Amino acid sequence: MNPDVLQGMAQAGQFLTLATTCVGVLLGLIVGMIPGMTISTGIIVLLPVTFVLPPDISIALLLGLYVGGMTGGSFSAVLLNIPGTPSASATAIDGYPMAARGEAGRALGLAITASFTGGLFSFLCLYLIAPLLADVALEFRTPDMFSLLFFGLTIICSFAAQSLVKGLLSGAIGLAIVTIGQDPVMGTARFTFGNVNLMAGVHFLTAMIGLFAIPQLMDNLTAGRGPGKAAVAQMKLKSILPTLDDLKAIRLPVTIGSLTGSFLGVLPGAGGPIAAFLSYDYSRRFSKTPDEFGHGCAAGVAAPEAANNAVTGGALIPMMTLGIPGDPVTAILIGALIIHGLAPGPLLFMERGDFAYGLIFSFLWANIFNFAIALACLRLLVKLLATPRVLLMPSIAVLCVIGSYALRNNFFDVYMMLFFGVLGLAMRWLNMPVVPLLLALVLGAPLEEHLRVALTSSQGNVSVFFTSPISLTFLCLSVVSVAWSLFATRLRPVTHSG
Amino acid sequence: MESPQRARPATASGKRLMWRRNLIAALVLLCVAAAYGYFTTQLPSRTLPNTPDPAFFPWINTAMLVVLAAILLFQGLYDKRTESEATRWGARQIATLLALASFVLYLLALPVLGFLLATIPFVAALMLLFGERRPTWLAAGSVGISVFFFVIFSHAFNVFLPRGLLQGLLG
Repeated sequence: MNPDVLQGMAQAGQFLTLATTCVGVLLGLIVGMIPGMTISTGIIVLLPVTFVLPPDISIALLLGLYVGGMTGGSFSAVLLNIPGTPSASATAIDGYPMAARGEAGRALGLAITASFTGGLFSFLCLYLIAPLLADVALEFRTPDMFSLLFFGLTIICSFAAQSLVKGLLSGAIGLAIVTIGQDPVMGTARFTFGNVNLMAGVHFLTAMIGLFAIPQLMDNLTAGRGPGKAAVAQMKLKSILPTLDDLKAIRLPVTIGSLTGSFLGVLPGAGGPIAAFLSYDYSRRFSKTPDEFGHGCAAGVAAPEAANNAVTGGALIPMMTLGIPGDPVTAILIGALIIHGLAPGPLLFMERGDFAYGLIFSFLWANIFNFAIALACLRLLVKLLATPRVLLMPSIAVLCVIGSYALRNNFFDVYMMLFFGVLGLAMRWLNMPVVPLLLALVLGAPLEEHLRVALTSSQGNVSVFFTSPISLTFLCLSVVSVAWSLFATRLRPVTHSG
Repeated sequence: MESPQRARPATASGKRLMWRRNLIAALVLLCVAAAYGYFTTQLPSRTLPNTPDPAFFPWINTAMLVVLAAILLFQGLYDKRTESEATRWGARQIATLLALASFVLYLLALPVLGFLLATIPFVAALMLLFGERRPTWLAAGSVGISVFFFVIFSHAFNVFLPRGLLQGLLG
């Protein structure tokens, strides 16, 4: 067996890593469950805590949160008909009617089981496909890398559901922001206005905290105090473990959800919500009793839950092998890896194979813990739905400030965080999506670097991007991606990113 | 198959409001693009012959910003098929402004007063905005949250949070 695989397995199996994964899963279940909190915000708020941790443990914590968050979203969807995350929207269609007729425990048990199966399937995809794809990606030259990153940027279109112009403008603003600081080829200071704090550019984390956490905080200002203790006390959970009949009934929907989720997770920009709705739709079409869908049927809960957890492993494939984020959460994970001095991409498997496989096995453990913790602590977790926002939201605000400050022990980063918070609010005011800006912040600097290096080596000849077969393939894929994104936005439910 | 989060249909007045906002945004972005373009012209040209200089990528960005902002402006002026409804000013927006003002005051006070003294009133202000009116809970919550994070980050994560006026007391 590949020694990196063994090392990765050992790394992920260490007590501290396992314990951190457990904590991540628990936090993820809570974050996913609380309406008004998204997985992206959860990871961003937790990110500063990982500064003091080694990279493998940090990423295990964040992966745990990612996996747990996907399952946690279904809890409030089933119990309150309020999806905790956009990916859990489809779960509410059948989950809530089941809860309404007194089968909340059964619905949640099915959701947890389906999530586990979907997660395991996507782990297999990640384990088998990622190393092969990384080997292929090692052959890429500079023009190929530029076209690949350009392909990654076309994800922007899929987040511009309401207005393509606004989505592209958001991306253009992001690309302009990444030019602040030293340029990646010559080291010339650009747009720094003599401020030494800007020489290293705008830090990714301050921008993320401002763009995601601050607007979300403001959104919660008028969202009320949550369901309250009385509503939570009424949620009686009887039998949680699914029966054999239930397991038989969800075989096909779980298979459909796992396949759809893993496949769509790999595609940039498709994400959890669309995978959940598509798998729900396919399961209904293949079902012998399609009329039961929408009235509280087990298959209607299992299919979207398997799909949204399968998306997680699928989205990690392009993130790890190509450095291309599949969804906003993987974009943030790329930022987290960069903060820890690791560059996701084909070289990750070559230079830090042990870490890459450690990440894959941590993902497996996250799914196992997610299943165990969600089943074991379900009754306790449901009580947390009554957590008062008056305590939660100010705590998040303080964490945002500490997170920005702790980055470099510098007040400048805190002010930048607030600037991005105001920018995020202004963008919300205009119905302009924030995710394209985030993607541009992740991909902008390497995009410029590869573009300029490729043009320098070809003496300014742009045909270099069209003569390389790999580069040409990615440019063609970019066209397909834009067309697919525009088609997919017609299917996507209207949700906030996250 | 109805999503629980599907948006309600846009109203005519809400759309008009969004047109107006689009126009304002387009004009602001055109100004930003002009300023960005101006500062791009000031960048030093240090490069080899026939190769892109440090201003190359900013020029692409300038062009993109100008073109896209112009399209948004054109849509605002001539194409009334706006995509969505704008949210109106109301209690929510006022609460947002108050929260932002608390943030600004907090960040100004932080270097002077230090983490603990600045965070306690900030948390209390946010708790008030989130609807907490009981004085005991306000006091307990604001002090509890501030002290909890100070202790956790200072001692468990070794983050040196500013001490401010309490420098002598906290060390």
